[in-house]
Amino acid sequence: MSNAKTKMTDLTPSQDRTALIGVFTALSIVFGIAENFIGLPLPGLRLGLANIGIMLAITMLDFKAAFAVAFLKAIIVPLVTGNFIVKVSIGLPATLASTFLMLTYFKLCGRFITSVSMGALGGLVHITVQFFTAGTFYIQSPAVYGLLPYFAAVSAACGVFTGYAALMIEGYLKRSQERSRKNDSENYTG
Amino acid sequence: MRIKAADIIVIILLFCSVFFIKNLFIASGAPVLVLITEKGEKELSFKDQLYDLKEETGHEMIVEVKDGKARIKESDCPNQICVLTGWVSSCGDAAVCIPNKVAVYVKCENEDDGLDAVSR
Repeated sequence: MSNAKTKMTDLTPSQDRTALIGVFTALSIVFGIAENFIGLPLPGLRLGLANIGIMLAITMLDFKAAFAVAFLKAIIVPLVTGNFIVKVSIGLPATLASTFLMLTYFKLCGRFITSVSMGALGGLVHITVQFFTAGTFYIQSPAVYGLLPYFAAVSAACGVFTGYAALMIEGYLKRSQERSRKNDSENYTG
Repeated sequence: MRIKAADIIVIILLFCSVFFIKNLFIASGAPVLVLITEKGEKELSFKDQLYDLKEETGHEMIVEVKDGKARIKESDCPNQICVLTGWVSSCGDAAVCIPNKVAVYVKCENEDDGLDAVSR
């Protein structure tokens, strides 16, 4: 009986990975939609909760998974929240750039850092690329960059917050993975 | 899972870099105060001084330069937009009075280079 039960939950690593990509993408999309209703002191700025899913994919999976989550999030969230073309043209390059830099950062110094500083970096890169695309295609006035320092500071602070959230979730996930692994081995022997 | 010391250092560095981000996009270089009137452009020195433009423009206008900043202090134009603009000091800032055809503008030397030119 216990054997049958463990077999059902006993996923191969690649199945586990695929399932986790799905979970992280869903997390990103739900947060991405939800954060539209959370206002911040500066207009147009979001907490970046959707970045939690991307950061989890970076720290727990690999670069392909991270880009899959980032790409799907950047396409699907604007589909739901509206104003698709503008949001995708501004948001997609920013999301991909911040994912790329966060990945590089994690690959290079992952042993010394956690997702807290990775989140701050991601927030900063995201807002900078957003300003660049918005300034180039939509506003076309250098005066817009005068606002960038304020946005960047708030964005980095939000990144610290979401990075910490990602760290907590990562810890919880790893503990639960270990627990299930332990349970499995107990079931096999017992 | 706990925050590591390197995290805190990186976060502090990132917050410091916030102050330099603007320079990626806006041309730096030596700022020059430029007074633009109907008769053409004129460079103003950064010395504290009041410029009375009555003879030049025929309007009651006073431009004030103080502490490396400039403003249109008084103007007889109806909307007073140029006066309300306040001090201009960083690259690209401008106080403009359209009815009197007067503007104070901060010009930077390499403004035509790089990204700034693209964004226009």
